[in-house]
Amino acid sequence: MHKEKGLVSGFTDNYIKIEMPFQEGLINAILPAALTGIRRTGNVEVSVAFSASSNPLANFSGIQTC
Amino acid sequence: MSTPRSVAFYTLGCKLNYSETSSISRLFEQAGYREVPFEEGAGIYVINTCSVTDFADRKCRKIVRQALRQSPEAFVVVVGCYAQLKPEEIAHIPGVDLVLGAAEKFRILDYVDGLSKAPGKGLVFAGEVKEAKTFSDAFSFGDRTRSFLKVQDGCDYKCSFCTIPQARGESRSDSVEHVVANAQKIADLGIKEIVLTGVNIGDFGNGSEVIEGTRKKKEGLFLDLIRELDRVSEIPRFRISSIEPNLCTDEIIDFVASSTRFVPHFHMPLQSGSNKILKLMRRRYFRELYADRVARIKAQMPHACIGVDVIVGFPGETEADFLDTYHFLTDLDVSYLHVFTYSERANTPAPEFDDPVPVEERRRRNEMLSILSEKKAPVLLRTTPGPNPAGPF
Repeated sequence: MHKEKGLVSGFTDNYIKIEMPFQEGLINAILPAALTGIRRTGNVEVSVAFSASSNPLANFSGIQTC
Repeated sequence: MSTPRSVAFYTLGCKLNYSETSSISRLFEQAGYREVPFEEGAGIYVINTCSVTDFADRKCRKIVRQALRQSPEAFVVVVGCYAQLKPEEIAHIPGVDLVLGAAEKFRILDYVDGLSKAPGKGLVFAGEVKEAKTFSDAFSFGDRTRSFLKVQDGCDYKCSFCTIPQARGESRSDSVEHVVANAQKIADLGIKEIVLTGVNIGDFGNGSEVIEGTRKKKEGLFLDLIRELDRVSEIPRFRISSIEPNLCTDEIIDFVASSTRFVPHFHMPLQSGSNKILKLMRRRYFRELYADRVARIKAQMPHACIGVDVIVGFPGETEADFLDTYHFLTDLDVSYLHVFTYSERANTPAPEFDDPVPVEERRRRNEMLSILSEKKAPVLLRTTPGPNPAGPF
């Protein structure tokens, strides 16, 4: 997670490093994501179907980074 | 401002080291210590070292200096692979108070409790690595959204370039039942992805019992382990960190292909695409076997990610041998390369081999393969179907 940069990052099943704009409820979530482009960092942009209520671990504490 | 009951950690090296640092940190926590960020200033600094790179000594010195800059009166404890290999050298680094070897590091509290700041070199408790026969479990928690779960330690292979067997000892494993129990504990902490780690995890199954004085009793093999872990339904994702190609069996590949929890990601060390160099390295396969493993994975899982470790500039590697590796990797359907420039390691056979490669040439070869790795990455994107499960963020 790069909350300070306004981004979160993670990996797909097949280890593609992905990034997307930060949303609180995304932390520690695994969600279906569509690959939409490549960022300057080399990481891949994704879009996910997400709503805060769908993620029961949205406020899980103790997790700071990916 | 530090307090005597505060502790900070710094980890160099691999996922296995991260899992062990995390477990050591929990020992301190259970003993009433407060973990603080490295930059905050702690009463005790624990540095978990690595011996794979040739910068181990320089890195260790740098981290010790940084720790003492934060907290000049802090106790500095150095553990890990480099501590096992060069304990006396580390004990002479100014500011180091205690050095613990492979068999001693999980008893760190016993040593720390009696520690007093004294001038001169640090205390050393590092027995012979052959004494490191027991398996100490470990898993990481809290610093990442994934947990690295240690399932195996040590290595019985005799690769001619590698110091790990001297640093970590013989191959030994946890039991299937205990790993499953640890996975359950990790699930209870809310973690969604577990990365199975070890030195040679495909060799999982070695216990400490020896049959007829020579052979280790093997039971509960890696395939048995992943089958049992697949039943831990609270963990949606398991990842295998790295597996030797000769131990990545058809059954393991087929199981991963059929599993909904084990992800299609394999990291397999190749080290060289030249059979001549593989033989010099004392690896247990030739390139044909590696190509066969990749083909099997891709036939079952076309979108699987396959990562490769390669060493360039090994003694005796001619330009033709290197180009063998380059072309082999160009044609191979893999996703990324971790390229290592060969460096001479003390007490290994390789530095005595004929025809060392000049350092500049080693670097050039590293650059060539690094560029090849960049070219490989986009291929996986094109073959990845969507939408794809992503995270944990």
